Order: sequence, then structure tokens, then C-alpha cells
Amino acid sequence: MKRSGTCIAAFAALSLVLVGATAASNAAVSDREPDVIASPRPNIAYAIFKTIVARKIGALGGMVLASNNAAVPETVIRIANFTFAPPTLTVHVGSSVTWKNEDDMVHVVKEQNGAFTSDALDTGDTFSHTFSQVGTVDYFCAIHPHMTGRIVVEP
Amino acid sequence: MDNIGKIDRRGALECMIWAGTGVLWGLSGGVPKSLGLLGEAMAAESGFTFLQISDSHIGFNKPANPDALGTLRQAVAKVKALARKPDFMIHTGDITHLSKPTEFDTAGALIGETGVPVHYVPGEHDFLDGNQGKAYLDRYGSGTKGAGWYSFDDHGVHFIGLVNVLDLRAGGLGRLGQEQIAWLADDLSSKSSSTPIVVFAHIPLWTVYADWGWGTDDSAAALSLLKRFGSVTVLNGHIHQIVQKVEGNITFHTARSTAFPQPVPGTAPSPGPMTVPAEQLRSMLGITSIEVRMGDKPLAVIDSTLAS
Repeated sequence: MKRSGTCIAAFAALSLVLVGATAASNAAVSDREPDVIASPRPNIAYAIFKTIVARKIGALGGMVLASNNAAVPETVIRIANFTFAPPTLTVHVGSSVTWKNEDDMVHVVKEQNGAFTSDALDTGDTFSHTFSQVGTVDYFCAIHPHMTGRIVVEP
Repeated sequence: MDNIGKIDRRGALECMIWAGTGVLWGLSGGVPKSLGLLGEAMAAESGFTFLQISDSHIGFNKPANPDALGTLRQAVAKVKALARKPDFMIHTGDITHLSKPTEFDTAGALIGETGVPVHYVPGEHDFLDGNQGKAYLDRYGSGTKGAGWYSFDDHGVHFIGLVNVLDLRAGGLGRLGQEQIAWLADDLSSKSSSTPIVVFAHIPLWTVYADWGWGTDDSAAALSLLKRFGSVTVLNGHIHQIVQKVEGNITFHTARSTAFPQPVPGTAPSPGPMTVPAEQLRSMLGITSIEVRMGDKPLAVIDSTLAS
């Protein structure tokens, strides 16, 4: 005898009541301005600070500003709502990219073939990697692998 | 549900959702059958029982539940208060939040207060030590294969603990891997098709919601090996809510977390921890109890919820 049926019986009524509030609270962090920065020195905190400043003055879509003093440019990718923002980022070779986890959940940044892997990033934690070769680097979250992102490294 | 009619041991499912604390399941002739609220059902049946606990996330301290240890303590108290102890527990992963030794030790000591043996499988949060899950495997890997999978028999039921949280692939879901699937085929080869099977693993072994990664890429290969069996029950965690499905001979069930709820698929921008009013939190956490009853009594297939 074959039978197939699905019952999604999870406290449906209760959950529905809660959905609105959850969606509303999450929407508050869904803005995804591209993070653009050129830092005169390789300091993560400084880069994040500069990113905030950059947002205030208006960010430019995914491109890294040329550095005036030939220092290593840094860029921040936000991890929020189980996504990488921006999902695709173009940087110049030699750039350092910093991922910052803004979720209430742990994430792990991993190059798709394991060329680099971050520690477990809890809320507020950051991870940086310097891209020293021209090319395209695909990465994902090692524990939420549906989360994917790409770094395009240009000369 | 409408799955009534000619009932046999295949696919018969009765479940009752007990908001707040747990669901008691029975396996009649190897088929899972809810027996109602934990206490009364335990008293009503004399069979072999086991209990599922999941996603305790010890170390989690975010707004969705600043005291994940406290809610696990409540779950443990529920178990300790049972008139009759289950034969054993299964923990379907995410024991810890960050795989820290102190988190493992705290969880292990607290769960140990139940005095009930526990069979663990890891969640992805238990493999975060940067060392291929050594922190987990040092504690719970003894006697297991590969990344921690194993099987055992109890009261004529064959139990299989699988690991689908290791070496995940970009863009994918949970993953069992070829080595584990080959092991499963070998493990099942000596079992008669009338043997009741219970499979447990962290991430759901069917696709609940691919957009949030709630499924296992190569689960079809594993489930195909289970098709010849008359009764298969699949117990998972990971999604912190109860979702059930009956497909042919296989019944699927996910358990609540003891730590924090997650949204119903597609109802929020992300599957992240869901913050609810404090007075509602405990109604969205829980444990699951399962009773195995031998025999071939006809079963009615009824799904119902009990709003508390």
C-alpha cells in the first residue's frame, strides 16, 4: 500500500502570529550598501570605521577606491541575514577584504576549495584575507553552504 | 490529516504536537505512533521508549534566548520527572554553539543528570573546532565510523546515526558523502526487510526548504537503500521546529530545539534565531519522546496539534 502525505504541523497558529514581528525586525538590517574603502593602513577596526564614514558620504557600487598613498586597500563585506553583502565584490590585487558577521548566528567564511577558511565567526567577529592574485575567488559559509559570494580580483 | 482508511504498518503515522514540552511517539510494529502527552502515555504503555533531544546550542546567548543552558536544564528536568525513564536518548546535534570544550563539558554534564544513556550525532555547530570535529569525536566518537556515524540494535529495532554536517559544498545543503552511503549500504545488507529502522541525523534528510539549506544533497541515495524496509522513521533536528512528512514507508520528523526557535520556512528574511516574547519562548522549545510497541494493531493516521 502506498501512501504519501505531508503534514507540516509545527505550531502553525502560534508561529503565524510571530512572523510579522520577526520580519519587521529583520528588515531593519537588510540594507545592503556596498562597502567601499581605501585605507592608508591595514587595520581592521580602522577599515570598519572608514566603511561607516564611506556609507555616510555615499558608497560606490562594489569598487574599491584607489589608494592615494599606495597602502593596502581594505574592504568590508557584511554578513547579515545569512547573506554576504555585497555578494560580488571587485577589488584590486593586493587588497585585503574583511568579513564582519552582523548576524545572531555563527558563520564561517571558506574559499570553495578550502584555500582559506575563517575561524567560527560569532556576532561582531571579523575575518580578513588579502588577495594577492588576479582572478575570481568563490567562497561560501562552511556551515550554511547555501550562502555564497564572489571576489573578483583585478590588476 | 486525511490519511485514513486501510491502515497497515507501512506509513502509518499518528502524531500529536505538544507545544512546550514534547511529543511522545510510539512505534507499533515499527511504525511511529503518537501516544499523547508525555506523562499519561508513558503510563499507558509498557513498551520500549526513547527520547529525542536536539539543538541545545550550549554557549548561545543572543536575544532569542540569553539562557540556552537554563532551557536545557528545564528539558532535563522534564526527563528526570518522568515516572518511567526512557531506555535511552538520542541527541540530534548542535549540542554546543561554538564547539568549545567548556560547552561540550557543560552540556554533557547537564544531560548526564538524567541518568539516561545518550546516543549523539553531531550538528554543524559541533564541528567548529577547526580540527574536523575532534572536540566532538574525542567525546562521542568512540566506536563510530568515519566522522562519527554508527548503528546499533535495541528491542528488534535497528538504529542508525548519520553525520551530514561535515565537508559541506558551496551552494549545497547537508551532505552524507560517498563513504558514509557505502557504509550504510553495507550496514543494511544483513537486515531483513521486516526490521523496523530508525535513522537519526542533524540536518533533515529530506528537503524542507532548500533556500535556507534545510535538506541534504545526497539523502536520496541513502533513502533509496531504505525503501525495501517495511517501516522507516527518520528523526532530525537543525530547523528548531516540528515538521513532519510521510512518504511511502518512511516517516520524517524534526524536533524542536531546547535553545531557540527558528522561523517557519519562507516567513522571514533568513533562518536566523527568532526572537519571540519571553513568555512565548518556552512554548516553542521542547523535546520528543518515542515509544516502540511491537504488534500489529491497526492504527489510525491522525495528525493534530495541541495548542497550549
